[in-house]
Amino acid sequence: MMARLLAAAPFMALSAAALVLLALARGFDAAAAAGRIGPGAWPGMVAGLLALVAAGKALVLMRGCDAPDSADQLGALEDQVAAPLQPGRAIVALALFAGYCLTLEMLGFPLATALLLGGFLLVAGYHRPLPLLATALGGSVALFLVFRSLVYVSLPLGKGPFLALSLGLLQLLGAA
Amino acid sequence: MLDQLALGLGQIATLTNLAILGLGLLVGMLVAILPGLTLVMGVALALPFTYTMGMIPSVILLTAIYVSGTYGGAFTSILFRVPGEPFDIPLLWDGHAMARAGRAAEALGLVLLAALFGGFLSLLFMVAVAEPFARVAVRLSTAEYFALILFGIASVVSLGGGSLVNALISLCVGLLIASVGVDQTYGVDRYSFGLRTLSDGIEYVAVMIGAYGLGEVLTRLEGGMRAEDQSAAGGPIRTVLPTLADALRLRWALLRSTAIGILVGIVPGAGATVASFVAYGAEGQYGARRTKLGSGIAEGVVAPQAASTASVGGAMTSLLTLGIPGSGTTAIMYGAFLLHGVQPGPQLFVATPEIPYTIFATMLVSLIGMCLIGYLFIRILVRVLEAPEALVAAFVVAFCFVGTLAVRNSVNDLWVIVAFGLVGWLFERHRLPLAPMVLGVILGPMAEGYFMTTMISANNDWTVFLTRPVSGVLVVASVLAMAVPIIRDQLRRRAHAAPVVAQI
Repeated sequence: MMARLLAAAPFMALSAAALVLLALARGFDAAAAAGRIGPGAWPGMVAGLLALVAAGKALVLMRGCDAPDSADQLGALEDQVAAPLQPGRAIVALALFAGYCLTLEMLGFPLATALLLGGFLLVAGYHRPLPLLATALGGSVALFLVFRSLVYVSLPLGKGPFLALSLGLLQLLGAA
Repeated sequence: MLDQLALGLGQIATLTNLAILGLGLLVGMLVAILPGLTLVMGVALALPFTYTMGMIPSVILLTAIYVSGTYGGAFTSILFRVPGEPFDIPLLWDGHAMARAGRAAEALGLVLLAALFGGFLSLLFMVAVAEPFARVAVRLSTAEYFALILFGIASVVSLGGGSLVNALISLCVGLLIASVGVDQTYGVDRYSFGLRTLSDGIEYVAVMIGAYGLGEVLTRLEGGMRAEDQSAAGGPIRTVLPTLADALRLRWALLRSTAIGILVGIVPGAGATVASFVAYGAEGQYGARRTKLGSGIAEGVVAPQAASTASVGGAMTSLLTLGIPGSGTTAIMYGAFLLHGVQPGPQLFVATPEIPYTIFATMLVSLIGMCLIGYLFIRILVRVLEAPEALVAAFVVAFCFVGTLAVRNSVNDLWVIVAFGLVGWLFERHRLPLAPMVLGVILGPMAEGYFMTTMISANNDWTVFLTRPVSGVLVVASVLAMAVPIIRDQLRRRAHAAPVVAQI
């Protein structure tokens, strides 16, 4: 029973969210002239369809009637044969990505990207220190040069001491 | 027409554009060879580089990546049993079987033949059909365009494989994402919840980079980024071209698969993966040696490869003549067009004919170039597989972030790709297909625009979609496309249940 509930829960949540979006869509139609289709019609139809389909899926899963189709069966078989999954790594990586977004403007592109590359390699299980360091630093500098000097993308240089670091790097590379 | 094609060839024939074309061929092949990098991801990551280029170099780069990307993944499927792209999966069944039997060189030669044959025929189709098709397309109304997109969406949902319900859920999520922001008809702010970032809408390139780029990386990270045994089956790595007699013996398989590839490619949203599987399935139904399919026969190699390369022509025809992307990759190219202020569609052949004919010319040169590169440098190309997967993935992540920054220079967009990376990962965990969601994001605004315009013009009379002949046929076809798999599934379940009832 618990297993069925867990399986159905994401679809129940999706259906509920779709119903909220449907309710919100009704409010958009105030902008339309009387008797004319409004801006809430299209998202309302889609949200309504999603609520229905997701609720149906949740119901089927709750009743345990969902016979997996061949693609799901194949996927389940592949999961059995493959090594156990490690969702923790993905979650840590997501936290790393979020940290990158938070610190990019403060640290500047070169430093933030070096930390991103090095941190990701660690999370991915690449534990050779010297190649890791070389990749993180070298990769960051290479990306900085290529995107700034060849593709002309304006990359954040950082604030305070980190700005000085980025500018110093640019001078060193002759790209200032 | 030929003089226009010569004009296109003239556009390519500068040192810079030739270098860009060569770079595109290499990038396409490398992206296709490396597992964990998909062709769509490769084109999406290349898109930011085109921002500082002109329109012509941009289409040359992206077209070259697209064409060569349909060929490169075959190497790893045949030699290492690792599909470089989803559309290379059918090559595992016969191609790798041939490699295990010591016939890898022969399999690689067949793939080269199939890619050339499928590519050239689809190019001929494009050149012959595109302009007349565009003249017809100009006469289509918004109702027909909406019905066409509906048909494309229905085809993707029903042909994509896996659960129809899951595909429908994924599609609806994509369509809702596309609804965020200011609507194009009334200018009303929808689902922005007071956030300025959301008022601008959710950039679909960020969705693609997040879902296909970061999402794929997270999925592979969860699986541990295992380094599998990379020893090639079939002995020394080289290509042996088939003889003329062998090629003639395979002519029906090649023609059938190429036709399937072109037709499937035209259907908005279908693309190379669907083409490859359908062609393999058709070979299993109608091929002369269908009973031996899967055991390592030539037809099992040429069918999926010819179809996947031929689908490029079909998808491009749909993009250039109707302005509707025929695949995920052409959806990125659609973005490249808009970026340079060019609206793909029937007017393209009138206003800027040099663009579509440059694309045709690029395809022609790319087909020859990719086969030469594959034939001469295959041993060097497959060495990229020796790079640790974690290293490749780290740079993919970095490219995702930098590429997104290049779009609008906005850190807020980085949050969008992280969010969609999470969505992509969660979708994968719950076996929700990603392609319908992404296509919903891309085609949603177009579909809504055509729908709203039609309804307003027809005074809210929805039957207009059924009473107009072309639109009516397409709507009925869409309903059938969705209904047939459901009915077939129900009949199959009853057939399995029947013996139990009989016993009782």
